Amino acid sequence: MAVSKEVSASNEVVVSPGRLRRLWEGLSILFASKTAMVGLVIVLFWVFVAVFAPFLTPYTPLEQDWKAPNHGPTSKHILGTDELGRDLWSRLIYGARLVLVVLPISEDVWLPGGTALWGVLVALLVGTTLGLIGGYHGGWIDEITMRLLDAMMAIPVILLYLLIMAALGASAVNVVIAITIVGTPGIARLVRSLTLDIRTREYIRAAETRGESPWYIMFVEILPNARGPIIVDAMLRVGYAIFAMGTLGFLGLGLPPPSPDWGSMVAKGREFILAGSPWAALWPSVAIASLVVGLNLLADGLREESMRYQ
Amino acid sequence: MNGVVDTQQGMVVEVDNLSISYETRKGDVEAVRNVSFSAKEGQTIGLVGESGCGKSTIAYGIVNFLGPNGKIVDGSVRFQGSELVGRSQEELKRLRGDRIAMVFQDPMQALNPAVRLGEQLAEVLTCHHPISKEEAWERSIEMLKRVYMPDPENVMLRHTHQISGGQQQRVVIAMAMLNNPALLIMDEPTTALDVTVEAAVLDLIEELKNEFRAANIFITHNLGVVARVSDYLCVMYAGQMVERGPLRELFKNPRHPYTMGLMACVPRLGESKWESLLNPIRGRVPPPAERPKDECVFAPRCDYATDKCREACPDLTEVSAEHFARCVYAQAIESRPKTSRRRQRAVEEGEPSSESPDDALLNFEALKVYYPQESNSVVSLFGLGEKKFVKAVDDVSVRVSRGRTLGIVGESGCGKSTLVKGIIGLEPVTDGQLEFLGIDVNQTVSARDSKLIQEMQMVFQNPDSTLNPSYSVGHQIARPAKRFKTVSKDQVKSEVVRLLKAVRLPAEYYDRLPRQLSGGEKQRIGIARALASRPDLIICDEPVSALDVSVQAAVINLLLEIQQVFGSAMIFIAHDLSVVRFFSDDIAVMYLGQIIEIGPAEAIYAPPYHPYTEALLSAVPIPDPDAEQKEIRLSGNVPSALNPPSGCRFHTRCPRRHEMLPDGGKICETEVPPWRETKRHRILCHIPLEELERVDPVVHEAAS
Repeated sequence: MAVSKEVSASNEVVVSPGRLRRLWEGLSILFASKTAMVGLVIVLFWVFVAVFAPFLTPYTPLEQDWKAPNHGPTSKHILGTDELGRDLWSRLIYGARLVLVVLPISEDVWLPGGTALWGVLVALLVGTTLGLIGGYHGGWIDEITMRLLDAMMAIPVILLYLLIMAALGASAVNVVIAITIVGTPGIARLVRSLTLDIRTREYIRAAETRGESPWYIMFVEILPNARGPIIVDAMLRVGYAIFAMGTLGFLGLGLPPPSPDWGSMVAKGREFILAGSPWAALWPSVAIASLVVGLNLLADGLREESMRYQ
Repeated sequence: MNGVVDTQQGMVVEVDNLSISYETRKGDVEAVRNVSFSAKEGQTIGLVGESGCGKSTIAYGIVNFLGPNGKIVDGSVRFQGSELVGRSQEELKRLRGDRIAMVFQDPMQALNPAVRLGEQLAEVLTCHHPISKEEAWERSIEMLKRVYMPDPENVMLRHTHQISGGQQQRVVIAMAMLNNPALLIMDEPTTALDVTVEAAVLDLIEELKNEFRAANIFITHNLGVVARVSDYLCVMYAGQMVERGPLRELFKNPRHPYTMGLMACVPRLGESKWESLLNPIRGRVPPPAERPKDECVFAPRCDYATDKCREACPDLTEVSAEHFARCVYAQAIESRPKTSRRRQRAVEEGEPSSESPDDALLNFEALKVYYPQESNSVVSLFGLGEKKFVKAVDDVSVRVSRGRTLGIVGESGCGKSTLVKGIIGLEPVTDGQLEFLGIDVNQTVSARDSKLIQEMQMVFQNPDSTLNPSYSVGHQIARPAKRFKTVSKDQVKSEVVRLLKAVRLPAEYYDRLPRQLSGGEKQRIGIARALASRPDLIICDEPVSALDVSVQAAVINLLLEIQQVFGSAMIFIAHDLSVVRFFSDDIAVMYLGQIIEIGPAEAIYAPPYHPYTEALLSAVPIPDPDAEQKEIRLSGNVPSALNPPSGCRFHTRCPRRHEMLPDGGKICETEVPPWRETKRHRILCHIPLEELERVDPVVHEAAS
């Protein structure tokens, strides 16, 4: 063990300039596209406010200011307050935290990573595995998994979300499960089609003539060469997931109140729009829209630029 | 030119000082610099050179069809006396397809798969001339007859995928000739075709030249092909024309080191590794952005280069009448002797004595690999009905001995790749005996013992897909060494470096990614990876066919050297018969899933021949315009392996059975032929050996 560690360490020294260069090449693709840069700036803004939310506001998202319910922007509350007098800016950035930075599992336990990100991540794991197996192995395994996934894709997305959430009940973990179930078929299809192409290459033949196991071939030989389209797709999917969270929250099936969930904020605020205080509905809508648009721009820019790069 | 347009009789195209650049993100890149040549009526100009030398760019430049980022920077192109450079695309469009026609490499891409062939042909006429559709249809049929298309009326109604590759190229040529063009530009028209089909298409091109008197610009990388069709040769290197002159003069007396190098690095048909060594040109063709600017472009790779070569780019100087070379030493360089190869030192060891039966490394008998054919009928859906099989390999028996090389030749679709897939275990063997190292290995690779897997490795054809683009070179070579534990863990890195050295690459390549390498370098890494498990048998599936000729020679030499050092046996698959002859000790000729002739290499390439071998050999393009070669052309297409002909599989196309067998070879149609054994090899044919022995050798090398 000690010996192998030494070897890998000495390899590391040699390999690192190559890795750095590769990272730099990846970034230069990003910087070359104006679309991707605009998207990146928007996304980074939200990530920044989500991570540093406790330092960016004097209020907690639950603190109620009884003197000022349904207020417009003031110097005290820069984006205004909702019907219970909670600071909208605080709720907005704590809402971003739920989406991007923390996944609350129970009252005091939370995981880093955000509900939308976890959902997409689990969907990626499941979908990629299914897609790789279906695409590489082929035959009846492929037929069965793909027909099942087709059947799932035939159900309208919103309906599927509603079914799952109604069955499981409203909680952050269940939102993750719902996002996973809805996202998996698409990812599996994408990975399968990429695998079908990549498995015809000669380096796969070479691995097979070496007698490598199917798992090694799928995850070590095939998967890294499919990463580009998968990354772009995952970015789009985070956007969809945020949208789905908003929808579920709006319908009352998302994170349970009083969590600062964007969707439920819109749902609550909606009642007061005609009463002359549109702020509570406006800000979370803008937040969802800008974050989704940002992720879409980033994904589109990356895709275009990486295609030109090839 | 004093206002006189036609200074020379019959001059069709004059290219003068043409320079072409492509705009890229890194600025303009010069693809072609100061190229001049001209073509007369009925004359074929051969443009030769390796890939990336600007041959195709010139062809597109003549009709200014360079795409959005290409532009003619300087020079003039005069077509029948009038200038083409600076003309609008509208005017050029009228010329293209009418007065100037083009034929490209891949007929599948030249023809529209969604439109019937007849409509595509007729459109060429109706688009340029006011004639009726019916007349255009009639003339198209006439033209198809002239290119010897069987059953032209029927072909007119078919779609592209319904005819074979050779026939597709005939349709494309017919399309080009329809408007009786004054200039024909052919860009590698036969590269995608099998040798026998290529030979027939070249015959056709030659015949049409005499009939239609069009000037022809023929672009190819293959010196053998160019020797067969052209009158005048232009050699391109890195965007410059380095030598031009009449065909025979240039082949007999090349004056530029690059031309000499090109001629010295391809094996001639009939030469073997025991008598000669190929001379590769070192290095590789520089990409356009890295070409030397103010010195001779070839200087970095030239064995004769001196400081004088690096001072300025030399001009084309006249060596003899009409023969120009772009070299300061054009007059001084002694032409390398024609068979410009050194005697190999290994000859001392002598040819290995013919195989002793105990020494068999790999032995397979009556091997069959069938693919089940999916049928769309309802009956087969329920598993009923007759099951059909593609008999890709049918009843093949071969023995490979330690340290020897078996070459397998045959046209595409003959089952040679399937055969090796069966051997290495990528395809399940349907039936037969397969023994390796004395152990029965009649199972797929996943079921084999890792010790056996280790002893059998493979080198692949396509350099662009042989390496995994995600991992560094070192990682990929290290993997088999780690997997089969050929060295202890802490020595893996030094083992990789040793293997890199064995394939003549410096240790710095350890961290490179595949996309930073050239085709030849990738192929070397592929060889190193196969060597890493220290196999007894290396299977090479067309290892050099995707490489440029100068690089090809280096890779072949490397494989030979490796075989000497490591003593591995090899199975070498190729469609190039000169290369296979050069490389192999024994050769098996395959046709439609069967071996039809097998034996030591020299016996295969001399009479008695199997009629198919004879036809293959007579189709090989020989890079020597003076070589005399028999002209045997096969008729028809390779039949489907789903339903192979009864009796002898070759009887549908056999040119010999009618003359050599009584009653025109009826027996071939009904009975499976016997093996005819000579002292040295075996032929699967009904024709008695005495008859076959009477055949003349296919090639007479001109005495020079």
